[in-house]
Amino acid sequence: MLDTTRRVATPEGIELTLQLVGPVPRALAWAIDFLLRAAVVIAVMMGAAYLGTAGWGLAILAAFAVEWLAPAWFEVYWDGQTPGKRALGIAVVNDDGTPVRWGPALTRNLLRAVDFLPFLYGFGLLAMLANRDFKRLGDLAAGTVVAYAPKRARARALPQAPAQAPPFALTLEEQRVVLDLAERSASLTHERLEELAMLAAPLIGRATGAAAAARLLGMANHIAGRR
Amino acid sequence: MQLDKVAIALRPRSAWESVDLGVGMLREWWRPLYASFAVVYVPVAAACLWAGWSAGKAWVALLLLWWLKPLFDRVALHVASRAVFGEVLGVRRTLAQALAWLGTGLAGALTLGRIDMARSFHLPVKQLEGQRWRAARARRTLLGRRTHGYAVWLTIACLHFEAVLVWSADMFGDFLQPAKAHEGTSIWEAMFAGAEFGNIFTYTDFCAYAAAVLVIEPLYVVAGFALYLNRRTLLEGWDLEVALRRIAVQRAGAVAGAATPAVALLAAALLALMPAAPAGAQTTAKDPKREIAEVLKGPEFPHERQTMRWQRRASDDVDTRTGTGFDLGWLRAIGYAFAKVSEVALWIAAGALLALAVWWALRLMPRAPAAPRGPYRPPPSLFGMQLAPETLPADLAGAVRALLATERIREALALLYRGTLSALVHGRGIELRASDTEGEALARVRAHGEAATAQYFAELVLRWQSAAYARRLPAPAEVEQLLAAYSERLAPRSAT
Repeated sequence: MLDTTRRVATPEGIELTLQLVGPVPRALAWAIDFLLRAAVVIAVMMGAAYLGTAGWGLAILAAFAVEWLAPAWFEVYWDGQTPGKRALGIAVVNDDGTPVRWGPALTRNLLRAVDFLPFLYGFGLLAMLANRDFKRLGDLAAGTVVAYAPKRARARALPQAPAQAPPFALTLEEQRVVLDLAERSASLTHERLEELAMLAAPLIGRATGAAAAARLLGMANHIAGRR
Repeated sequence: MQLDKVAIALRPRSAWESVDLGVGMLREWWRPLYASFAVVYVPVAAACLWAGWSAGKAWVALLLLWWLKPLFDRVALHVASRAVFGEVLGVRRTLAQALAWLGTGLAGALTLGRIDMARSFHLPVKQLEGQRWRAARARRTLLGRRTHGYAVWLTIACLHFEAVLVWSADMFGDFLQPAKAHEGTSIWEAMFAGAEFGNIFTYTDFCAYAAAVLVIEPLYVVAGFALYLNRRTLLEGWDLEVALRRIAVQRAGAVAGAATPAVALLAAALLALMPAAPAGAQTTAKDPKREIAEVLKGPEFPHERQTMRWQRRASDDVDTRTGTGFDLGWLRAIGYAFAKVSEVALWIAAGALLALAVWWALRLMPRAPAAPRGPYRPPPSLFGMQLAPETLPADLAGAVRALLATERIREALALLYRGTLSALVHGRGIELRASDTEGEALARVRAHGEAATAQYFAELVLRWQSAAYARRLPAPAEVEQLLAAYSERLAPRSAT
């Protein structure tokens, strides 16, 4: 099955799934970061203009820090996110899903210079298209990936229905399917909901149409513990 | 549409994630996608170049190629849409099905539809669903309700990707030129070299642009298609359909359970008549060693290792000088060996001394006092058993006997065990911890000092372990014996 995930097994035998980020959201995050960096550098330059030659030196130092060090600083101390990455809800992590520290963060940021070649990240783009983890060259060197930051799971509304026990004990996966169907029933049309409900013939028995859907919703309520 | 053949993992994704899935799809099927795309694209691009050449203006060729993009899009979408459902088309079959993807509102797409900012997201509505006019518009509004903005951003991003590739190609070409080629010209003159005023594009630019479109356009189309697929997955519950169908297949027997005994009987009779399968077939079907080797090949188990070791060099650097008269080379060799050995010994001695010094220094350092532990609090449960005395029946011995009388030996033993643990923790004040294993609990009881209690507890733990982990239940008489020992030593005195 084709997917954009990377599975990581921890030493404790727990499997984590990283949802990798492709070139399009990353390019947009970069654009936001770039605009912010440019804004900061221009602001510093405007201030430094009053200081003459010393101001020029200050501006250049500030530009260096903002261009090369600030992104690494953000990635280390801000959950792997630069402002642009935070806006897009993505973050840098190590290959094994652990947070990045200074080593990888600096490596991947300094190697932006290589990804930038020949002009405006041409090599970086091609590398991201060719690599199965969407890594640019800096990511390859630093052993990092960009993944979607985990979102806090929100409870979804489960439509109320008289609880009804399933005809046989359901496995965890099957329970999840029934719950999922019930939680998403509001976004499905009635016809589609009934069609879907009737697919699960062993669960609903001979019921058809609205009765089948109602029965599945009842089972979802049963699974959710409303008895 | 057959969802059981779908080759992508169906799950509700965020819009960006589905765009990423599009990139993944392009990587998975890049051969058929790019092959079919190039077969249509390259001749058309050549025709555009020719048209521009004969008009004498490179921008004509560029504009033509850009304008004709919807034509190429349809090839890429045709291949991608078939590949998603498990049918990977070759170039020849794609061309043979040309009518299917050509007759899909191409005229509209090349006129007004050309300025659609979410082109690749809207394309499947026309090409795959065959919707036209008002129906198509209604459909696009419905599908685009939460996705249209992302599709527009995808268009913008891909536009920039093309520009990046064009400029990169341009720069790369410059890198390969001799360093003095641009001497004396400014960077702007170098960038637009060969362009005349009013005609800033050159035929080289056209070639770079054509190559960039060749790389990016399939990506754009497939990513838009992935957005479309995700939207439909959300709206129509495709992932739910797959999962529910799986339940239907796996649980088909659960309903027809009543009929199974007869079927099983028949099957057994048939099996008895069949010749026994060769023993080898069984082992090849499930060979744990091979399975383990395959699992170990996975990316979760890295199996690269760098090792370094010393290796003897070829002996051509041995000193072969010979003196005149007496050959004292051997003496020299012995002296050299002795010196070497002494040197190594000295280093070892120095290292040992240093280690000793560090060890001594560490011993002299003031030790941080061990963090004071909080007062012992009895855990609410041990081994999954509640310990608080109030959760136990008042007359534990009676309750155990009642369970024994109804042949529920396991429950009786469990109750006795629980009572014993509770009595040890709450009655005797032995500090058992929630993290203890049975063995550690036993060691703590032994350390407490009452030999008879410890012996009783050891016996009980042994019985309980065999009952709980090995399902070897003791005889009721043995439980009675243990119960007697419990009543004698551990039963709460306050009850009597």
